[in-house]
Amino acid sequence: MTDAIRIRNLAWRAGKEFALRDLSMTVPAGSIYGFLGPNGSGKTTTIRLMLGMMEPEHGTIDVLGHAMPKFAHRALAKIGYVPERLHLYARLTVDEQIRFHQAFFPTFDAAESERLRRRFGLREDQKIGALSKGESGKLMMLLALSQQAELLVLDEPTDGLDPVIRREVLSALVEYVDVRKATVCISSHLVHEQERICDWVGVLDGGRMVAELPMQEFRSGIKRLRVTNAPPTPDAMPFSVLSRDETSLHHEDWVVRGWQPEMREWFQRSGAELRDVQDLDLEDSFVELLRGARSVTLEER
Amino acid sequence: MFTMILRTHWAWTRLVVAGVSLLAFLMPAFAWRMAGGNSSAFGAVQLMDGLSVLGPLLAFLALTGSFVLAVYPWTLDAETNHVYPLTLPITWTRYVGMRYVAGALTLIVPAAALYLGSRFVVSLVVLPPLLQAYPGSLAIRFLLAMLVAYSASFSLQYLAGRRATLVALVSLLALLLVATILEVSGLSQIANRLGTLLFDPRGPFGVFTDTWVLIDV
Repeated sequence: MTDAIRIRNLAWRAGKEFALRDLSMTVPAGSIYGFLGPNGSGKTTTIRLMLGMMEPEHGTIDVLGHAMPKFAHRALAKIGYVPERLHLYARLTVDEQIRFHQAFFPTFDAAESERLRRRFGLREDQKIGALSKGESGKLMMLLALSQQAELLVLDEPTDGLDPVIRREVLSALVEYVDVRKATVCISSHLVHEQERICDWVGVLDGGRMVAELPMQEFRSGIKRLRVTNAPPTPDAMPFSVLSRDETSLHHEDWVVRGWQPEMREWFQRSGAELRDVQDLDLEDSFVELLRGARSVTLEER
Repeated sequence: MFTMILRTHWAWTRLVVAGVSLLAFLMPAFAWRMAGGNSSAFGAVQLMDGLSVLGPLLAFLALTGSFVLAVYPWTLDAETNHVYPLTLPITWTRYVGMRYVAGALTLIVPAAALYLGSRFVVSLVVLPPLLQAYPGSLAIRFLLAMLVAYSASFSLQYLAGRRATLVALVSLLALLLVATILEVSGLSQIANRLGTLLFDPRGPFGVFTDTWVLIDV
């Protein structure tokens, strides 16, 4: 098995509107896959479908070799899940919740759970309903990591956490992946956070997968080009143009994807002049990617 | 797994169980006190009268207590939109099955309390040879009544989810509609027969309508 998660042509709708359409996604085994997208882009819905909590309209989902949602109970034994919001029983104490969770997961490591509990500073007798947002996040991460899961699915696990707790949670995650060689699918709209830990990126917008590529390619392949005398309708471009803004007469800024230095020649051939090639940081790349995808969608309409 | 489900169920509902159990325990003694608290053979007759009044209250207690015991754990699951149970590595059917059994097991406590309360009262009354003591059968009837009410409430909650109220209303309206149609078309005996089937002592809800007696002739 080379893919931990393989989704093909997934569609799902809430009511009449499609929330996801024709979504395909591949999370390679052993990777840390950053699932990026603005709020409301369909990340949580995709994750819920991925975990077999909902039935797709059509399409196939395979997680750790199990078809979802049919064999969700088998796959879930090997998946650690941290949802966007607290999903645990508010009336249980931390200790009761840990023991409850342990009873369902045969691979649960009680010693590791105790170690993490101490590290995260969670008291055994604290009621879950009385935990702060940071403590809830740490408890959910503790449960997912103590399961010794092959795959961790984390839905905005650090959203709303202060920087200290965020760092603590992420370092526990990175340690876990380092030791267990687990696959991680982590959804977030915090692009900089993803940049530090992910080696694959999938960008979702409006229920569509806009791009899915290795982080390195995402980081280095999206550039801002300063172009003079650009042809109005250029053809046979070796890269894809995400956006094109006129900055002054004869001068344009292009944001392109799939850029390679040898592509400079294309500008000479088409009578234009490439004045500068600028690197974009990940957040700018992300924003430009979304802009490009949205303008394509508008044109299609 | 099941032990943990049972443990959480107990942790969440123990106060309700304790309340229902206390009422069930006290009810026979209360009936006896209402009847004058006479220990003679005449007291047994008074006790029968007292329980004939309190019998429906036992049915009411079984109904309301079981409803709360079925609904309360469901609301705690629903608070999380059932996300946590859905991420456990068991099928939804198995999870719901375990929750059902765990809740059903807690019903034994109020039934046992009623049994003990009844035994206590029976021990205070001198029973003539022709009167038999039935604390056991009263407790079993109470347990069955709770189980029927619990199963109905539980099924409605877990199977119909948020649409439970709608399902209940539609069922009630359908029942009324069928009864009216049968009445208008001169087939009221079918409706009567249906009612008899449901609420007859041998029917599924007969346990609520039959007489509740601690002692019987």
